[in-house]
Amino acid sequence: MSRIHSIRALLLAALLIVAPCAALADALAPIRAATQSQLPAPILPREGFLTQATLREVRLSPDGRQLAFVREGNGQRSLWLQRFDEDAPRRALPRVDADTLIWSRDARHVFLVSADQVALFNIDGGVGSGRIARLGQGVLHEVVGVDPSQPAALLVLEHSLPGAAQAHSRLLRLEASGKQVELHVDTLPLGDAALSTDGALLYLRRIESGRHAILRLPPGGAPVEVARCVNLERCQFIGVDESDQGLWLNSDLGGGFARLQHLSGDGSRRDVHADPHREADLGHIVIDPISGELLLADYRSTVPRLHGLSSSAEADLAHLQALLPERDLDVQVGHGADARWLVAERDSQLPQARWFVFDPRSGELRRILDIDAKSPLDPAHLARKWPISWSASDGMRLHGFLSLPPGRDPGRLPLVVSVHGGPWSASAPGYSAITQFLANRGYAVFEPNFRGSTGLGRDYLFAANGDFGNGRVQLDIIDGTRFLLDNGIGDPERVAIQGASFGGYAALQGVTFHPDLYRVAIAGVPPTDFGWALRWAVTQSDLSDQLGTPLATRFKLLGVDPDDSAVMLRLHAQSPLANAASLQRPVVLYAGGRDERVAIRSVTHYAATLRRLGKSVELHVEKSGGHALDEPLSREAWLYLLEQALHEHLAGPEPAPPSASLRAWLQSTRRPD
Amino acid sequence: MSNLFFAELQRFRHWALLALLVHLAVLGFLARMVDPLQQPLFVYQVVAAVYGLAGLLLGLYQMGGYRKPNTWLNLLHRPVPHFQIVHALAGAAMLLLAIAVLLPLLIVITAQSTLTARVVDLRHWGLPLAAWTIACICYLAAACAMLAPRRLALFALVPISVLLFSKTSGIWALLLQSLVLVWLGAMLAALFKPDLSAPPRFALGEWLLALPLQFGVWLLLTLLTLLYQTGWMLLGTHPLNSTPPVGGYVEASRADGADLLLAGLAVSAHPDAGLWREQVRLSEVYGTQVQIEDFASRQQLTNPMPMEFDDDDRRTRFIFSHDDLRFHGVTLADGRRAGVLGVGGEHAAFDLAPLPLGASALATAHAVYSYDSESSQIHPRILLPAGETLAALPTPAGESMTVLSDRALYFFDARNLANAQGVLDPRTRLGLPAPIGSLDRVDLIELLDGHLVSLVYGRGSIDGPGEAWQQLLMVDAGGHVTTVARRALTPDFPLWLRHYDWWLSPAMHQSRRALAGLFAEPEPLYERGPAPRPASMQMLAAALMLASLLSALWLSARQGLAGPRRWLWVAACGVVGLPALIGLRLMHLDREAPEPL
Repeated sequence: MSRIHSIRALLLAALLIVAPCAALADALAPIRAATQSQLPAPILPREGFLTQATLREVRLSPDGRQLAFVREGNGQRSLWLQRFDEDAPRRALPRVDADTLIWSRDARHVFLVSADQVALFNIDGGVGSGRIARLGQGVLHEVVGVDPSQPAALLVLEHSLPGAAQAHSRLLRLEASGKQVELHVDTLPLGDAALSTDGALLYLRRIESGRHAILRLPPGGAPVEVARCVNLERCQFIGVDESDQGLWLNSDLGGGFARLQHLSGDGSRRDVHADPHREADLGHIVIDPISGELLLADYRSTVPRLHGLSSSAEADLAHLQALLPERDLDVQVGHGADARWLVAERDSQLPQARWFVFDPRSGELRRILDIDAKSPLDPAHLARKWPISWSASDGMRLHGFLSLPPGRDPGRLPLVVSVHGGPWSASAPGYSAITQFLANRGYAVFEPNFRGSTGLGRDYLFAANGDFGNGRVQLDIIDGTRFLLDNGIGDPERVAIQGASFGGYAALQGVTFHPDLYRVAIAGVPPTDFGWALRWAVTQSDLSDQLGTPLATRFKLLGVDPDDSAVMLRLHAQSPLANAASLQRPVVLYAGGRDERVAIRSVTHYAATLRRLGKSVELHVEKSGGHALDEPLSREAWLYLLEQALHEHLAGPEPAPPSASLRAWLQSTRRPD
Repeated sequence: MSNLFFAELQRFRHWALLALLVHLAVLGFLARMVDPLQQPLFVYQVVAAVYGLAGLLLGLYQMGGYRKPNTWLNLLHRPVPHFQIVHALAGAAMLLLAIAVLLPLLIVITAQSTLTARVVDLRHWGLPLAAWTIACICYLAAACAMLAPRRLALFALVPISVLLFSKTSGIWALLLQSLVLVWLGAMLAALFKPDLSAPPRFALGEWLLALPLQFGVWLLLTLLTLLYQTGWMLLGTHPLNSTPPVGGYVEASRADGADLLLAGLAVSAHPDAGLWREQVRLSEVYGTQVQIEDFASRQQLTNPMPMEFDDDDRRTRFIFSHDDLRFHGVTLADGRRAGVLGVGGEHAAFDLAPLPLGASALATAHAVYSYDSESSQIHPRILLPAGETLAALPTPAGESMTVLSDRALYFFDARNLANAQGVLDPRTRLGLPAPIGSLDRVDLIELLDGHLVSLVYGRGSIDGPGEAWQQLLMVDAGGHVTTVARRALTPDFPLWLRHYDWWLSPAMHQSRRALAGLFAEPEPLYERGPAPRPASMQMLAAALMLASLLSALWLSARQGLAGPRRWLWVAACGVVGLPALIGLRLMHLDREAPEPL
């Protein structure tokens, strides 16, 4: 028996390697074959898909000798430390409210950053722990990162509130003592800053009417603009190149994919590293926390890949990948000869990351932090998320993911199209509770990254050209669905579409305009008229609070100018709301009463319109819910409603009866009650 | 006279000294625990009642002793005019009250002013005077009650009621108290006569007592409705104490917001009414109502609420001073002065005294301010147009915050109110279709491009005059208002009961309103629309007045009244009606049956 499993594992591993190529080539046969070769998984309890990792913010110290992390349980967070020469972590603080942990460069302090304060924890146990700064009192703050010139200090940007009499933006150094040193003050909003290790402020990113100017600050001289990022070009600072005082950027300046670029003080720019497969934008760069040396480049929009940026880093990475072959790895590195690497293994079949400490010198890999609440989900029972691509009807190559229930005939499976939100966002590799839940219930799950999705290059992003009505973007989803059906994935008579936010909108579009394809739509927090939603978002959504390019400008650059009445009229004419009368399929709506991204009134208006027209609509409103499903019960409710609707309309398995608390929750959210 | 005066002082000196010491000890203890000058109105009312009770007991005891037949004869047979005797007794009593009431208050306020950082305004020095005046008023009323004929004794206390329903404040309240004091003093002088069973001898003296008498009779008659309603409640059919009648005002005032909106839409002919019915069933209903009863008047003696707030982060209490219209900081730890807080960075004076409401909100009649602890500054956030008065603080309504004034319902951007700085402009203004004093509740839902708003009017119409109705309005994002429905709400009480205090005596009804508003500032939040009296009620009132007039003609003749005194009473019965007739009967006995001495 174990031998058979070994053979299956080898076969699966081989398929995993060739799958992307196979998918690109034409058929999905390898995926079908790999899936069918697996053993069918039992139906797993719904609650198992609600388990969330209790470890957050696991951060390696700059000296690579210990780590700090936040552990969450029973609504409380605590700060924990683990030295690598000790067997088990120890609790350092029983209660913290930190969202982010940042090590000081001297590895003697941890900054605990929350929405309203920065606190300091002294690792040595000496005096000095406690709150060192309050955040957000009448101004906006954002922590940029560690000050590379100080043993223990943060760089913080402070911005005046909208409507302030005198707008300002300040770059502050927040020292461990709580002392704040003003490094720069500007009348325009600042977006980023880069200091050299000797403390000189070399570069600033300043936001000027929607454009981002990268300024070099010569000693004693006036700032000089060395680059300008327009049209939503990415210009993320990575750090200063100490060899020539240039600036490392994660940027797509010049078009194409976001990549590692070097910007010289004279404004000249060169590409340093880009995705060799020319598929994905650069995710992030792993750097040495002390020297600032660039070590690894991470790309993860289709297939997660790490690349070494130096020969030694490449060698160390190869060593690590030999120990964890074909795994999705997230690496933090320490500085110094005996520094360890902290490695997180993530995968679509891993509900929680596995943590390892890797010694690049000895090549030793050791599992640590095996203290997370155990997920009841066995990875062997979960579905592999396959990256796939297909040609749209206009010839453009598109990307997405496919998850199939193990051990089932893909051609006879009901198919659920799961559309991501945004739309300027993306489905990503890695674990997704909803995807795994649906797959476990026997549904093939298709997650299309239609044009307009992020992480796949500027051309991909802008190819949508604002056609978010019943147009090109929706056609991408349709094309992807038909591609799967044509290639033996899914039963054409049993196809549903679901999603949240823009995904919910796309689901409503799907059943409104393509009732022949989609039998039911399950839409969470959905816009019902994309144009109206954009206009609303410009003034009312939390997105409008974000610093940087104004939201209206961003929308305009993305082809959906809220001030362009023709565009708005087109989007309205092609909206589910305007075409409610032609809806033939049932819809299930789930919305948040305090949604900060999609107006609840737009959802209730749509539902009221459908009810007035006698259409089949089920509406749930979580009274104090926002745009995200934060409450465990609301997440379970969403899973239950999905399962119930798919059971009713795609003849999927009947959901397990809701618990008493879930039943009460559903009763409280159902409208009309 | 002076001998009697000093004898009376000596008689009560120990009591006065004891009262002073006890009073001072209590005030001193309270001053250690709280700031006695920053208490809510209710506390001042209770304390005033204690002072009044002290005066009342003194009057009852003092005059109760003197009115005994032998004592009375001894008192009146002194070789001084009667008015000097009463002056000596009352003067001594009022001086004793000054020692027991006014002096401790002056000592405590002086100590607070000189020894602490707490705020002592000019207005606070009026408090001892007001306390003493109230004690004296009650003393005089009690003295009158003891010296008046037994059947009229209760009505001698009626002038005290003016203090209870008066709406005046500050120096004007002191003026009103002084007038009541003078009235009662004159009443006492008129009642201080050898024959205590007879009405005052002179017409002026008689009418000093007759007017409170008629007013008191009217008040008692109006209280009869309580008996009626108590019986109604016992039967279990009272609208306020059982399931309210369908379609009535009580039902509307208690209804669930969604049900109320649906009831309004049910009678609407608007083409979108059907869609909105569905949306009401699916939407969250928000509501607001008049929240503010009273704003602080400049230099008023008391406070609607403590005029202070705490900054917990700074461990500082900020107390408002009416003198310079700014807040003055006092550290919570050691009571030291901690700066001055005005409007904006310059700490300018407020234009009106602001009420500290909520954690960091302050409100005057025309503006809402927010306090920022970080900068320790107060900034205006909402300014109402000139002439409008704030009725409710910003109240969440989905994406908006509603603000109710006496003229309009405003919709502000909730996010800007929370996140931004500066004065906000309203997104939408919905003018109120009727005066705010009649507005009972506001309910609304968000529509795709506007709001559906229900307004229920009829406050005071349950057991009073006025019509009640529900008005449904749709205000779009551009501020354009469309009337969706108007639904009349049926009265829950019988007609005669709703107008009872009026038809009983329109003159007394009007007198009460006039007394309540005497020297008072206008109260925009209590403004109500005209409440027309139905013809049947007008006829009933006229019939009662006519019957009273005719009865007075018969009764006054039977009582042996003649001349101007008789005709004055007959005229009063014609104008005032039943209360005057009963007053006539109480004031003058029949010739055939004189009251025995």
